[in-house]
Amino acid sequence: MNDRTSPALSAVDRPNSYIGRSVPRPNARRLVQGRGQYTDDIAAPARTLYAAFLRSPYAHAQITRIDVAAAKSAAGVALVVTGAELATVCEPWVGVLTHFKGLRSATQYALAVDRVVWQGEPIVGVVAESRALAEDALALIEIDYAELPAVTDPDAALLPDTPVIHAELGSNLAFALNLESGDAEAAFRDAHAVVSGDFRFGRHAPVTLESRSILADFDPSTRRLTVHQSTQTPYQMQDIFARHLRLPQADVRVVAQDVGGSFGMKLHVYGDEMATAAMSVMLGRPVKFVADRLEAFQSDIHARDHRVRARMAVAADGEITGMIVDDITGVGAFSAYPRTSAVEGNQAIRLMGGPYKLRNYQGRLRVVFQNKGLMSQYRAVGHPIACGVTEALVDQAAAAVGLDPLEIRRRNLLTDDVYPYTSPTGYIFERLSHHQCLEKLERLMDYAGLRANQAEARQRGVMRGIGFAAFIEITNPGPAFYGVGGAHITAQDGCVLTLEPSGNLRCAVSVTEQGQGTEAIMAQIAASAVGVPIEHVRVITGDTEATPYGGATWASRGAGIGGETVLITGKALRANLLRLAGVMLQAPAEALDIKDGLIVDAATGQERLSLPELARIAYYRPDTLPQGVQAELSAAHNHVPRGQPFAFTNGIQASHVEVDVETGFVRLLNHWVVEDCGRIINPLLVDEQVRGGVVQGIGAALFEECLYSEQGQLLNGTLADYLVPMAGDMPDIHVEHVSTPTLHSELGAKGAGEAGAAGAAAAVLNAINDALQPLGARLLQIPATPERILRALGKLDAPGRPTSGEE
Amino acid sequence: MELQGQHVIPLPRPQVWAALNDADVLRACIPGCQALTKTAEDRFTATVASKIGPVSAVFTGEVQLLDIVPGLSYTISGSGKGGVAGFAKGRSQVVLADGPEGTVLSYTATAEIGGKLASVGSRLLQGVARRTADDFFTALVNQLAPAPQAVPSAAQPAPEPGASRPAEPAAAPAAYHPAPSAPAPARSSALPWILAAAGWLIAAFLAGHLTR
Repeated sequence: MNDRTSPALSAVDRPNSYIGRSVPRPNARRLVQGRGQYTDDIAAPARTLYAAFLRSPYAHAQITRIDVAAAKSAAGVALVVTGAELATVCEPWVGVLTHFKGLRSATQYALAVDRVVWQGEPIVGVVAESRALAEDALALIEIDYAELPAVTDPDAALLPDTPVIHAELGSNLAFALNLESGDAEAAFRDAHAVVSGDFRFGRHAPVTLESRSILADFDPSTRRLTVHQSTQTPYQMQDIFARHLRLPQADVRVVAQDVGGSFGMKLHVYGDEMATAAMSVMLGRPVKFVADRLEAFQSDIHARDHRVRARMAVAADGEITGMIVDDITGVGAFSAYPRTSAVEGNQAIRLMGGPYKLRNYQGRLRVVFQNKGLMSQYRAVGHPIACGVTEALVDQAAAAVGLDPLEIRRRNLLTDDVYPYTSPTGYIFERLSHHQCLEKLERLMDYAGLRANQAEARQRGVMRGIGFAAFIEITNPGPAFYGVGGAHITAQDGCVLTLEPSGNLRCAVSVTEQGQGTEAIMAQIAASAVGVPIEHVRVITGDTEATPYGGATWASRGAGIGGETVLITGKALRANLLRLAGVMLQAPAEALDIKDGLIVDAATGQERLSLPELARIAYYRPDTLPQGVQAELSAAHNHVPRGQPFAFTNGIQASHVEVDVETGFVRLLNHWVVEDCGRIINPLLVDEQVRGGVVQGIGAALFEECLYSEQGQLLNGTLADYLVPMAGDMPDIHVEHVSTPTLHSELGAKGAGEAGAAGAAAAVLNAINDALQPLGARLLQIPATPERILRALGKLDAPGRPTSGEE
Repeated sequence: MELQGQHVIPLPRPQVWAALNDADVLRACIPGCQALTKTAEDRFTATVASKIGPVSAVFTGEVQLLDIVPGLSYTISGSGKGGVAGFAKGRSQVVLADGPEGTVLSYTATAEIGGKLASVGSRLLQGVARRTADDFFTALVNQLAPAPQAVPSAAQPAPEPGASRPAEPAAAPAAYHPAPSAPAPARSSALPWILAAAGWLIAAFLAGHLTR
């Protein structure tokens, strides 16, 4: 529209565009040199105090007595607060949203009142001159508990004789959903073969490098609260601090500077963080809390604790004709606030079978409470569950009808002629590229060569396997995601773009940076839209006082929604600047262009005026402009996707593994991803996102699982006991792309943050099962630990013990 | 966690039984035991200090003796609160029998830990519990029959190395002494102490393993 030089090209396609280029992230050097400003790095204001929390050692218990007298008089202690006392300052919450019909949860207090419902739940907060003194005071607190039976197993949670965790709810059922499309029963009746599985997915901890951190500073003279917090969503948290601490929203400022990983974990409300802010209000002093690693394991949200019984019907020619899925998931003691714990299960059963043509589908979801830490949204919410179940069944179906795993996918993936397509579960796909991705993957991995290698290796007794996982990914959620259910969570983003007196651009945007390169992406878009060198753009994020209100960063929305907002704003500023330049140069704005920070003649490209000169005149010598001319040096715009509920992406992954059938260990040989996130703004950053997600998926596939005792005790709350994928364990991850831009935005970008995590675990498990297949073994549980693999092979009977005859 | 073990104590059964019911003996033998007090015929309170990794904790708790068959067996049930470190609960059945080399003490124990202890130390529980049990019985034998020399079986007063049964290498350290004249107050009411000891053993194990 503003690009008069080449009408066929949009702002993002211009020859000097940064879109599509692997621009390095501007913050990389700073972070690598240790100059990051994470919440714990921020110089503590004068008189800062430090919080520590006494946490429940029981998964479920009545608190019969609390004695904090000794703690109150301990050295350096400024405040000791119990749950009941804190509740007078901080309103409790209930993690439900109205668009999840029937979703229930109980009132949750920042600090437990009368009863504890998970091990690690905070009970008493102590604020002292140092964290050490606060912890010393914690040791002086006496609490008597009457232990109650713990509910841990999701299946058992709904049995009639199982204790009900929240008596007022009548049962441990938080949410149930039944989906039905087509005639699944008939599909199974008429099937050539039916395959099935009882799948288990291990509870997964986020393990961010930077743990949850908060520095809350309430100034009693102005009654303003300033919170530095390691969060993805400063605006959501501004609203929450305001409402729950009964402060005007305008008097709360939330600042999220550098954030060391979040993966969805840092957008939920946590009792210890709310209590820290509340205690700052109570004291009128700054209070800081940084979760230690054990606190992170015990109280960060977890994800992926699902058990899924599923069946798939297949015709003789390999056509998948139906799927029936029953998913039960335990989400801990409460539905998380404010986004609920229904989303993961909801997405899991709606994404089942998603890449394929099948129309006959029955999905049943039950979300249950249990005496464990909370589960909620974490990277690729629900996707690994749906993908894991679907792709494992597809492999079984291929075997049942004698087809190659890649061939059965080729026969069933949605074809290019069906779009726009509405899935059996109601998702709308604008345009996907399953078949292009599959063909690209087949070439990329040299599939025929790998199969030959596999056959040759088997001759030597070496068991290698190849596993595939086609996936779809939900990105760029529109307004129907949270706000519609009553949450004060916005789906729009805002951008304010300003030409500064120096001639540089200042881009304040509501999407936030957690290490994924948001700043680079936004700078590329702003620079391209206006026409300046990227070095002349400074991006500002993560401060409710300095950046416009917006959804921030989650659900792979930053580039697609935030980026589009910056593009729209950049085009508006560009129009302003060209209009002004036209006045100064006495030329029609249409005859001018902005390139590399210069106003040029559109036709010839000849320089007419530099942006610094334009800015100098506009800011310091407006007297030289004609009467009535006002220089508009800023543009501000908001944007929310309105065309479709989500921008779906798609792709396919493949894993090549070698399984040592004597030890059960899996060696990852190679991993491939071909994905389609629409227009790629920065290939380097997209590939980083995909690889990071793949590594997280491999963690789920092989290593990561929160282990609990039957009494609800978390048994592996250290990084010595909870295994995470290490660089040395990782295979090469080859990433290629197909690009099908969404037509609902000018930028055309879809999300890329969760594609890797969506399908990696499914591909690895399929590869393991492909390796084990000649031995008649099959594993339907992740992580696929050596012990589980040996048990699948019949080499172990009871946990950890060799079967008789084995040594 | 479940644990079982067997120890041969080169002393006659009544003497072992009495010792296991002697608060002073138990207090001396339980690692980190600061106090052990009888509160009822079959109940005791105890305080055991320990350092668990980065966490220092003082466990306070109760021990109860159940199913007492004097001179033969009982069950110890105990639980202790370790403040911010969490809690420990344990139950142990102890059975004494006459053996060729003295009294054969067999125990089965179950222990449960909670809070930080569980989340930080579960992996180490089994090993430490076993080691702590061994340490306790070693200390017990030394307490009853202090001797610089290793000694064989109770039936053989003559000092002789190799008192421990080969099958139970951890059970009988070389310091075992027959001690025919060991001080053995035959307070049958002291049976509970044994149970207390076992309960406290468990707590102490927990504490102990966490320091590893």
